[in-house]
Amino acid sequence: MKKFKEPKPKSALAVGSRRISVGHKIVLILFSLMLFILIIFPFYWIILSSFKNFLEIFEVPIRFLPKRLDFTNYKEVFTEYHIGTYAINSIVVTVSTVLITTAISTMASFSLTRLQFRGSKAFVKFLQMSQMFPVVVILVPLYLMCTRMGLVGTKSSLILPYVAIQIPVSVILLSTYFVDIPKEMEEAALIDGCSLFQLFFKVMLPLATSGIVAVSIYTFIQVWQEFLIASSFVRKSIHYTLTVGLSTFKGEFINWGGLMATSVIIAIPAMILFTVSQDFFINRLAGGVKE
Amino acid sequence: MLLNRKNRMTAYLLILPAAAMLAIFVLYPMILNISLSFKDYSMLKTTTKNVGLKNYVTLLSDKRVWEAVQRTFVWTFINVAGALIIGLGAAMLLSNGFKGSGLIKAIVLIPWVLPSVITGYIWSLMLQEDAGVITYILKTLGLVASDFSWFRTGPLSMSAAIMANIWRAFPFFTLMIYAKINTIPSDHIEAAMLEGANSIQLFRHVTFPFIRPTVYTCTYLCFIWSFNAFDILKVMTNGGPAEMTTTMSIMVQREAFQFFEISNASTMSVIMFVLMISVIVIFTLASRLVRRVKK
Repeated sequence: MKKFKEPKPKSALAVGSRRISVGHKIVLILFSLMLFILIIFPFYWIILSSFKNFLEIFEVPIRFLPKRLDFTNYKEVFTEYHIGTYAINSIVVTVSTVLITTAISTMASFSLTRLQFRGSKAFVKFLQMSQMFPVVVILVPLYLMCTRMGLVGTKSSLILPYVAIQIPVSVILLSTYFVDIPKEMEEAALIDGCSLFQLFFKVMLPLATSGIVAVSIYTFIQVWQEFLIASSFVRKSIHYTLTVGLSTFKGEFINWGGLMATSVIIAIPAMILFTVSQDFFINRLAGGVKE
Repeated sequence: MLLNRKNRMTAYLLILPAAAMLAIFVLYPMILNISLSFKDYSMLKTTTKNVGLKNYVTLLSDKRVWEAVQRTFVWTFINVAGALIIGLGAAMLLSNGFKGSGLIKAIVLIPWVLPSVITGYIWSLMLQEDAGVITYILKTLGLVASDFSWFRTGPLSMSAAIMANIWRAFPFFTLMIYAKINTIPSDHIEAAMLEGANSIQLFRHVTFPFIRPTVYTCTYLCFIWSFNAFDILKVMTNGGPAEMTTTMSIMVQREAFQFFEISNASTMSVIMFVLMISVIVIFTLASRLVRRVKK
C-alpha cells in the first residue's frame, strides 16, 4: 500500500539553480564535497581502524588507506573477548523486543485508526507525549521495580522497559500505514460477513505488511543501539549486550582495533536494515515524528 | 458502523496491552520517581523514611548540581544550534539538485543510524591525543601545539563530545528540512524570481517561512534529545576531566548506579525533568506571544 510518491528529483529550488554562475557552482561543489567527507569519513575510519593492529593504530604519519585487509581483530574479538556472547544477548533482547512491541503496537494502531472509539484521541495524545519522554527520568524507579520483581540479571529486565519505551513511536508510525488503507476495503469485508478478527487478520494485516516490517526495522535499530538502560541494569559481564560489551576493550590501554572491529559488527545489521527500508526512513519518519 | 457494542469492547481490548505496558513501565515509574525524591532511600541503608523536601534543599544548595545544570544547558544549546545550522545548510545545499546530491541523500542518515556509542568511540579515536587523525592533521598543519590534547581540559572535552553529537544529530534536520523544501510549490519560487529576488531574499521570504514549522519541530526534538543525552558523553569523557563535562544525565546515572544513592538520583532526575518542561513551556509561550504581536 505505498501511496507515497518519490519526491521529484529536481526540487522547486533547482529551477533557480540553472541560472547560477560558474563561481556559484564551484562553491556548491566544494560545500557538497565537504558535506560528503563529513558524513562518510568517521564511518570510513571505523572500518579502516578495524584492520589495523595495535601498533598501526598509533603509527605516525597516519595511513589513510589500508595496508592489507587484516582480519585478525575480527577473529580476536571472538576468541579473546566475549563478543559472541554479547552478540547473542543483543540478538535475543532486540528480537524479543521487536516481536513483542510490533504485536502490541499493531493491535493498538488497528484499534486506534479503524475503530475510533471513545477516548482514542486522548490515547493518541498520551502516546505523542510519552514518545518524548526521557528515559533518564524513569531509569531509577525502573531498576527498583526490576529488583523487586526479581528480574535483575535476566533479559526481561531489559526487554520489558524497551517494549514500553518503543510502543508509543511504533504505534504512531504504524497508524500512518493503517490510515492509508481505504475504508471501502473494510466495508466490503464486513458486508461479506467478516468478523472483526477476520477483518484484522485476513484484510488489514496483509495490507499493512510493508508498514509493519518497516516499523519493526525502526524498532530494531533503536533497541539494537540502546546503551543507557543496558549499561545501568546489567551487572555481570556475561549478560552484557554489544553496546555495553564495547567497554571491555578499555583496559589499561584501549584495544582500538578490536573496538572498531566490534563496532563494524554492531553497525552491519543496522546498516543493512536501514538500507532495505530507506524509503520508509525518508518518507514515513518525517510524517510520523511530526504530530 | 464498525462500532456496535461488542466491537467497542474489542477496541478497548486491542489497546489494553499497549496501555498496560505504558502504565506499568512509564507512568508508574514516573510517579514512583517523584515519591522517591521525598524519601531517604539508599541501597546502602536498610531504612526508608519520608524526609519531605530535604533532598531538594540539599541538592539545590549543592554547587556541583548547579554546575551540572549549567553545563547541561551549554551542552544542549551548542548542540541544537550546531545541528540546526549544519542541518539546514546541508538541506539547502541538497535542494539545489546538483549532480551527486542523490548520493549524499542516500548516505546522509548514516550518522543517525550508526549506534550512538560507536559514534562516541570513533570520535574519541579520531580526536585521540597521539594517533587521532583530526588531532594529527591539526598538529601537522601547525594549528595546535604539539602537546595538544582534547581531553585534558573541560571546555575542550566538551567541544569534542559536542562535535560527535552534532555529527550524529544534524542529518535528522537535513532530511526533514530537505523533505519539506521539496514540497514548496514551484510557482512561489518562480514568482519571487520574476520579481527579481536574490537568493538571500528568496530564502528569507519564501523558503524559510515555508519550512519554519519543520525547523521548529526538529529543534524541539533535538532539544529533548540533547538535554537528556547520555551515550556519547559517557563513552567519550565519562563526565571528566574533574567533573568538567558532567551533565545532569551523567550525574543521575552515576548517583544511582555507582553510588547507589537512589533518592539523590530520583530528586535530580525530577529537577531535570522540571527544567526541561519549563524550557519547552517558556519557548512555546514566547513563540505564541511573538506571533500575536506580529499580527
